[in-house]
Amino acid sequence: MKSNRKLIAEFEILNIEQPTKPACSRLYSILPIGIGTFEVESLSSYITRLAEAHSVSVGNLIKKEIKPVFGISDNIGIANGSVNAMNGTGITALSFIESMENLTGKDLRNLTLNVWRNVIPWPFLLRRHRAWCWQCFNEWKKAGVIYEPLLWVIDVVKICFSHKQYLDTVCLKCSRQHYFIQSRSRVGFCPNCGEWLGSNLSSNRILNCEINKEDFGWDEWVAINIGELVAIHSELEFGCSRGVLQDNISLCIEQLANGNNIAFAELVGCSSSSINQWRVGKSIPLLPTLLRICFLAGSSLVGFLTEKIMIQPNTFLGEAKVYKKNKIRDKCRGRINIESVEQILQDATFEIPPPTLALVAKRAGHEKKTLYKHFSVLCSKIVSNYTEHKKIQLIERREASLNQVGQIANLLHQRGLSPSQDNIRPYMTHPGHLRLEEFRIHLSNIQFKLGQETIFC
Amino acid sequence: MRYFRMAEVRFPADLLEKSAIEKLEYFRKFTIGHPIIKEVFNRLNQAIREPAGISLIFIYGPPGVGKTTVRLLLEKKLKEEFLASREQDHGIIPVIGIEAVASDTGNFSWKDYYKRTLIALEEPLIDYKINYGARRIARNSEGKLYIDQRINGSEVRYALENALKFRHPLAVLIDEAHHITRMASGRRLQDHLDSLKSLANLSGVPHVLLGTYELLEARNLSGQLSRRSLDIHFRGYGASSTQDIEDFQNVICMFQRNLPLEIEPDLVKHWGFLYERSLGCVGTLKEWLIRAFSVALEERSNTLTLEYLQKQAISITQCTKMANEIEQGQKELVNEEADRDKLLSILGLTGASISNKELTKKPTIVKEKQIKSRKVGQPNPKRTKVGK
Repeated sequence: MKSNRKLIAEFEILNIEQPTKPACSRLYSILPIGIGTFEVESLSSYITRLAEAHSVSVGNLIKKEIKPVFGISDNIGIANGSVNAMNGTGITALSFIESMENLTGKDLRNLTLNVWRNVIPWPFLLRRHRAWCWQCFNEWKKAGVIYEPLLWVIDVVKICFSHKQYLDTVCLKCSRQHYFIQSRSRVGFCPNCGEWLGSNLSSNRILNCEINKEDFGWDEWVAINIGELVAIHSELEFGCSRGVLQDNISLCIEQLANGNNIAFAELVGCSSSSINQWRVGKSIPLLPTLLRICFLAGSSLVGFLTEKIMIQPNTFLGEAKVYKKNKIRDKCRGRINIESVEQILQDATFEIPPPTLALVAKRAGHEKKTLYKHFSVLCSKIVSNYTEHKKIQLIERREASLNQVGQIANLLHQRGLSPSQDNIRPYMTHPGHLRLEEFRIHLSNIQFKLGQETIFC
Repeated sequence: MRYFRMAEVRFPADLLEKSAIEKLEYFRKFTIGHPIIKEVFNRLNQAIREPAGISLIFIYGPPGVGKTTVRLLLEKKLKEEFLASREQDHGIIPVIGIEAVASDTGNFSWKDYYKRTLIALEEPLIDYKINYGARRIARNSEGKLYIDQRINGSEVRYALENALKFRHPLAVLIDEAHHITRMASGRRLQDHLDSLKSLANLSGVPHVLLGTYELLEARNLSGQLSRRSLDIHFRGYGASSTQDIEDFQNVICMFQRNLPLEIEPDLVKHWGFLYERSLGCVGTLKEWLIRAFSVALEERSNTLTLEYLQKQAISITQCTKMANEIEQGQKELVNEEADRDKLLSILGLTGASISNKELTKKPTIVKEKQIKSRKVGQPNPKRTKVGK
């Protein structure tokens, strides 16, 4: 055979060198639900779903993956509930949006209220505790994906629009409220006891609760308007400015109160100094107040914030709720009558049992601040009387409890039962006292004594 | 027409001036797309695209035949396609390739396997995985009792299921998969393989297991397992087929032309010896040539002589062992054909009504059997003359 044999065929040469690895997002790129609709998902719900998808707890995901991205400070923590601000309009929300966009590659601005940051201030905006509609959870469970809409995060929204009922805020099994994001949150489950929040048990409670028709009408109007707000914000690239809001407010003052600030303040339910600030542009009304203004002007909330409105009579039936912060202030008006108030205070110092200063202030019809201003000595006397009284009561209570321990222990011993803490506890009026040092010492002395008696019997 | 002349491929001439390392590197990278490897690759590629309910793909063959090369080829192809289609979802990973690591305790560690796969999927927080619903026996949200399977590391497995669902690779390629079969008891192996199959089902990602003939043992464990699995036999070139011999000689010829040496060695002359000690496996052959070439470079030889090959060859004992394994493996496959008679009789079909070619879908099988439909003693009708 010749050395270089003639080939019939040559085979293909293969190249198995791998191309550069395509970059993928650090966390799963889950699709947010409902963008552009009333029922758009909230950012807290998105993060909770993402954590479930990754099979880690929400706490770990936030602490170890999300916060380190842009160095969100440790002050924003899960334990104190400040992480809930991620759904709102402030810096926390912005930081979370940026971190999440970095980690998932998805645009998540619309899952928060960040777009409205210029025209809606943060007080009274977000709920402190989680709210939900159990029927919605049930329906979504059947459909396959459970989530929590942004609407439920907003404080003024009290009802579920689809099911026309009030939102729940308390878990039926453990009777506790909880935050939107807690370390072991799951969408649709209570983070404290693990109970499914869509269970039918809830229905009994809701049906029993009487729904005030007038209030409900107002809540429905609010829900519709906020729904429009969260649905439309996907179209607003850069948020909206205060100019439009300012103009509309001025228009309202002109047309609804003839330009009178004080009259408008009465109508709206806040102080005239606020009205002035709005007019000048130094501040903006809180969301509840803004809603009331829109209602009175016959405009939708979105319209009020984005375009010049026309005042028209409101076709919606029902009364607009006024959200008042401090009710006592209404009563304490007018100049103080020195003599009569002084008399009331004098009498209070000799009263037995001593009253609290708050009670005395109510009787006098003035605030504590006013009373301190004019009669500081008398006020201090009233307070110290009351404090003394409380101390004495405490000591008496504890002594009575100690005696009670002794009595119960003896009774048990007579019946042949062991006078242990667990046995004594059910019979005590204040069983919590047993945890105190002096009680435990007292009890062990009694037990020793009784034991000795038994031995020597 | 199968054969056609192509331009002869040789190493670039300037390579002779370069360092030994570069020469070795060139030869190492030189991969031939010989007929068998191309066929296996094409079948695998097709199976991935149209899985049609296939969850597991078994690719078994002798050690050194080129399974890792096939794996790398597929990974490369899938990654390139993914990069080309850039309306991409950033959350997706095109393909995962992992190696099933042999455990030092003798029992394959599934928890370790799941973790390695999670790492390959670039999953964050692997040590913090929890599974809210996972208990051995528990109640689900409707209060119904259910019992979890007895698998170790259920949290990690659950996390893997999710990871596969969300990252949705086109395939998971498991190399050295025969290590999986090293388990203490057959029952446990079956559980674990069923678990792997259900993982592939639930996530919709086909798993490809590449390994030696030991894999056959796993594949045959249960009917349930075989139902949604596909087999690809990656064989070496057999000495009994002339076509195979020719192809093998071609491979040798291409190798000898691409060894960066001053004088081209005549390896085709010694094809018999090369076949003997590589058992027809191109991978083994190449590694052998690399070893011999490396020594030749060290000794600054200008060609590769038979002596170098002999010194670096695998020992006869080793070869016999490997040959036995191959024979054993191929016997198992042939036995399948024999079992086919049994199957047909169970089903109530005779060989006369169904021809062999209609049912068999394994063109790479070494032997072919024809079913005889006549009883012994009955003459062939053709033999009897009709008419004059």
